[in-house]
Amino acid sequence: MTPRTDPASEPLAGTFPVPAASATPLGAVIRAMVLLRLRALLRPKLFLRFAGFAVGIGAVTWFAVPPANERQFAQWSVEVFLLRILPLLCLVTGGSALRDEIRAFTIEYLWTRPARKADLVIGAYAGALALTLTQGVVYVLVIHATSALHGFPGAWSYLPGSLLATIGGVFAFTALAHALGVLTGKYLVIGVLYGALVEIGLSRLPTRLNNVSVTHHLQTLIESAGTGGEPMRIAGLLSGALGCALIAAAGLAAAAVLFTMKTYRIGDEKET
Amino acid sequence: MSAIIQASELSCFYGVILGLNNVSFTLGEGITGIVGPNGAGKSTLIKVITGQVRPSSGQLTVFGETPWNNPSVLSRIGYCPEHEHVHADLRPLDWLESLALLSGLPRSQARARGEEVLTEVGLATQHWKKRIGTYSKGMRQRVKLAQALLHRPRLLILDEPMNGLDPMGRHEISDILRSLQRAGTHILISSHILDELQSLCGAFLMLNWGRALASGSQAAIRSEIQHWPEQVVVRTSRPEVVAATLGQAGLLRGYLLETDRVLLWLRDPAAFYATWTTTLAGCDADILDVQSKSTSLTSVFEKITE
Repeated sequence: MTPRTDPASEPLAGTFPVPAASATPLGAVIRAMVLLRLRALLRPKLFLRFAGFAVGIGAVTWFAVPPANERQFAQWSVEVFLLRILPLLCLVTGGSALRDEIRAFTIEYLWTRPARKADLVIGAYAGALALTLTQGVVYVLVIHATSALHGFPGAWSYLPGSLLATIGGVFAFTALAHALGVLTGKYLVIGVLYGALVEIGLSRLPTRLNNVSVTHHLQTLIESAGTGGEPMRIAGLLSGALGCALIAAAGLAAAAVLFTMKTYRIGDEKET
Repeated sequence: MSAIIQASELSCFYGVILGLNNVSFTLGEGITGIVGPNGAGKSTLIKVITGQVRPSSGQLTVFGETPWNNPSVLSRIGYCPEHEHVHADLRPLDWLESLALLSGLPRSQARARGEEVLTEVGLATQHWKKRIGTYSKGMRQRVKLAQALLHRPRLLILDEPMNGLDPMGRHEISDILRSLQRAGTHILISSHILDELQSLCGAFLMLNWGRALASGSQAAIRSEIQHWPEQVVVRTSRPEVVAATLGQAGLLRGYLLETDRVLLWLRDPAAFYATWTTTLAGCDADILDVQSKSTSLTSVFEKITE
């Protein structure tokens, strides 16, 4: 890159290189989008909300789950938290990753940069992922630690499966939510409908159709993680992880295609 | 002068809503103003130029390439939108650092470049630690301009940049733009107030109802429409008598009476200027002042949008 300096102009006289007339590399786009997202959100208000939610989850674990009741612990940590609360968390954070920028008109500062729109989608996903993953892992730790303190030491044996399912679920659910957010401003409603139809409905069907649901793959991960002294099943772990990865990739690809093709309503413009 | 932006039969519709209608023009180097009333199609055109909206038909090129989904064009464009929305929760340097990275600046220099452009646009350093949401309108306008300059664009596009600025702020922004022009940056600036662009812009594109009415230098636009009737304001004790006298002499196309003056639309400016003194000498009214309204580009624009 050739430095552009102009001695005739004081304001522009400098030694900063002019960026090349090509697309910004994906790595730089991801770094920029993650920084933007985290800096905008990481404020005392968010930490308080985050901490409050963690305390709430701990309180529910302590008071609502009887000590040493393995079945109820599994119901709470898997059925309720991993398969209901975590997807909702991903829906809110993933869906708003670019939609908030579109609603706030600030998207104009992003997509008029020399970055590919598909790269912006990936960057926004990475920003949302950083948030949801951090929250998901902390909440899972809170649930297991609280349960262990409350007289159920066996809770720790569930931790590897829970963490794997949290990571897989966050990757897949956040990508799907991201695609919904790019598609429509009503992503919360569509997301809940999707959850009811696919994640609750299809996942329970004893057919191969349940492979399209993230829930099915998360259950495979949990069952294969060697909970309660059972041997770890590598094939099951790989199958569950691959299922989550494929759904995440599909969601991300859909988001990238939609964002590249669509025209959004910014100011007086119509969304088409 | 080489062409920076070229449009050929460009149209842009949002469903049944008209944005731009079969517009063709060429914009060259220097500072060019896009003027037109609200709804003329200025913002739509800017969105097409900055690659945010795909044309419905026709073609628009910037530096010889189409801007839609084209990072190569966008790397040479800096854009400052009309609206005031910014990342209000961020401090300006944090915001600029992220945008500089998105523009392809090296990580090690992104923040330093942010400091440089904030200085360039005259945002005092004591405000750098505050969140942008706490800024006044003028300060936000400066930060918005700063983000557009981060990657040293060859073409700077500003949508209504003077909106909400006080006279001092407008003067300072104008100075910054002139300085950028001297450094070789081409500037495209839109406004619905033509007066504020007249001293700044070397050329204009006039839009109304999605159509290009005229383009070129001020002189070229004036000469293009020199055959059109002129407007003259006559300050007088009896406006109705002046209007009637000139009307009977066949010099007027129309008139508008006010308390102490009359606005005249001339049928034939040459004939009017040759005979008005003798024609009015015979009427029973004191003539206090005669002024042509048509010397400014504003009146030219008013005429072509009639």
